[in-house]
Amino acid sequence: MSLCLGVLCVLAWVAAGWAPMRVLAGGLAGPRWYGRAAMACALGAALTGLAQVLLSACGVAAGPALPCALALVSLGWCASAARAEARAAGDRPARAGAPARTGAPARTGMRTHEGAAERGGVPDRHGTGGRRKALPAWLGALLVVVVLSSVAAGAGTPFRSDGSKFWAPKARELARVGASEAPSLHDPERLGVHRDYPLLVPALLAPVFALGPPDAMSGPKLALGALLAALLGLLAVMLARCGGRGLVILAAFAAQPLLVSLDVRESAVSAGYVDAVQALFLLLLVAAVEALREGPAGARGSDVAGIALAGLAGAALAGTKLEGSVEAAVVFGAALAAGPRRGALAAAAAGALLLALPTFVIAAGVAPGEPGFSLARLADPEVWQARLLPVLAGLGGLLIDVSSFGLLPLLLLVLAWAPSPAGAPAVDGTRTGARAVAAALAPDIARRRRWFGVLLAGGALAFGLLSYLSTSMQAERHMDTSAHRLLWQWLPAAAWLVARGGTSQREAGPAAGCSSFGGAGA
Amino acid sequence: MLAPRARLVALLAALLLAAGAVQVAARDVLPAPAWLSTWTARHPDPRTFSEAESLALRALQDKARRKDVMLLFAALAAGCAAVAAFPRLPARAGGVRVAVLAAGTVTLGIALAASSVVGQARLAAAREWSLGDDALGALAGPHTATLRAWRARVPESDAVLLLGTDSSLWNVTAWALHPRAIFPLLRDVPPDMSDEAQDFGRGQGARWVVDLGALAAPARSAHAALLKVDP
Repeated sequence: MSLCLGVLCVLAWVAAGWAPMRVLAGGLAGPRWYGRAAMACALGAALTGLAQVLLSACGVAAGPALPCALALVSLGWCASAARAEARAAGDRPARAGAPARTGAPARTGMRTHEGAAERGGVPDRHGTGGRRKALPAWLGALLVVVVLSSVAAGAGTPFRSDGSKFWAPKARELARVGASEAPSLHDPERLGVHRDYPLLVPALLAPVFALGPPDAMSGPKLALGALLAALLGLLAVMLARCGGRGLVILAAFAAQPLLVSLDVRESAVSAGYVDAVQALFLLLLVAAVEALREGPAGARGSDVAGIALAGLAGAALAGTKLEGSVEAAVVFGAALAAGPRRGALAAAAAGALLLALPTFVIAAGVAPGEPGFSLARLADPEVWQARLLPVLAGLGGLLIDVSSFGLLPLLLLVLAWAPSPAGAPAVDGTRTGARAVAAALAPDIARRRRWFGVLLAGGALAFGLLSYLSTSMQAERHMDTSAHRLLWQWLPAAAWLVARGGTSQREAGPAAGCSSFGGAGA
Repeated sequence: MLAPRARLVALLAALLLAAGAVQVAARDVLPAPAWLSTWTARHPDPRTFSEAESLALRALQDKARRKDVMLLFAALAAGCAAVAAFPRLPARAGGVRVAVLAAGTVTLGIALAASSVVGQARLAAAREWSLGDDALGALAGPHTATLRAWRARVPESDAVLLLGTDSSLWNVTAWALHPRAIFPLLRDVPPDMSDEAQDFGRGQGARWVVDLGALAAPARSAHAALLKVDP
């Protein structure tokens, strides 16, 4: 029963996200079913989670009503859009040569590509539409094996570690009572671990717990696994657009031990960690922000969709884990500093802040616990002396954390070091000196002379460094439990940035390299 | 297409790296570099650990380091072997280094995926992997029956004072006794427990104490693991 509830929950997310996918991210999702399903799942989970958190902040228990309602609204919108498209198609012969304006996307002011409503929103800059190459059979098979073994490992085993310590207990409690009244959040004497942690994932899993038997875990864990599958599906679509280099990176990404291992510490899903969800929203945010930065001025529909997508992804990121707020700030900060189109980026950041407000309100109201970090430690020379070297060694050691990432970090470093034009080998070895260093830090920086990649990498590194310098835990112990998962949250976005860094203007189209989005035709 | 001489070099590299992996695998642990150990010994972390905690962390890190280095050698060996076996691979992947790293990761991933499938089959045979509706057995292991009995005995409106320091038992017990109000005392039955905890859980109906130490080792404990405090 729990497994069926998990399947229904995932289907509700996909349904709830289908209309937003068509309006906001049709170009990014692409024409293939797995890309569209993955994007719909991600957006549906983001929307449902944020709405559940909002209701929870108002004292409403997180039940199945909201996901079902959102799914029905979304499907209703899609049906209405389909009818409008059919009418437009019927009218077309009568208005010879007149471009068909499609249903709902046209109403929202979205410009569409190739006359298809589902290509609306953040559009596809490739302009290759359905002619994009499919994944090679061997790579598709690898992805299927990884998804099946990983989701099975997750769904078939109980919550453990942080999963059983606080993620699942929070979900079970939110299924009974809203966050504003939850005893474990507000009564300091009650059992409650990490009371200030955001509640988006527990709120997403709560309906499955609410309807399932008391000791069932397969449904909630299947739902978590589905979000990992959505991450892989979305990344597959995005990396496949980046040519051969993208496919190589995709293969290495999919084969990471963290994805395929059954081991609790080294697994993305078997323990019930939520880092895959965090990685999904971070990838979505980086992609949306890049689309906003590169979108041509004047494509207002594209801008509105891009702002909405970036705002939604940023809020979902902040609502998933504590570090999500900082990660969103790093992404928006890097984009704002690097420019261009700072107005649209600022609007997206403001939207994210607004949507994440319930998360911050809940966190501000919980019973105080021991602070995880103390910025005062950063002013203590003894802390720097004791921790800087071990922390740097630990962060550097992540490059060869093979039991978590395989050789992926080394591969990304090698590829980032020498971006290549289309048609040439991925590694040309011709970049030297400062240019090579810049390319290593962020592959597109040397090519397009923009600072987004460098600022993003620098911000992520600074965040990691300052976190472990200021932690209230023993620094090495804290790194041992979390550093690999912190890096993993950035890896999908980093993989995509590195892959597109090696794609030439000629390969990717006139506007912006390997971007998966594009200038809507004015 | 990789030249025959380059293929030979790749094959030799694969053999050397495989030998390195075997050598590391033969060791129990791989300690941190001396310079790092010396530095941390001279400049201890401000958040001090007890000797036992330090030793436990060190052992954990040394084991993880051994595993990482062993897998690094093994994956690189697999990557080199793949390049030697398939000379067109570097051209398709975009270079020899890229081919070695990508093939090594994919080989490692496939091996671990296979190991995961086998592991899941074993767990399923031991009833620790299940898509069914009752995961308490897989979670609680030998304590399942006890926890079920406690759940039947303690009404949902009562409070439970959870005593103990075993984090896994703690999580399992808290899971099993949900949704009862649980008040944690992260210590092993302190002498001043009655003073400190006398007000915990008042207003919840009756109160119960769960001693995780007694649950883990009932033979060594003079009292039951579940005790009713009042009324």
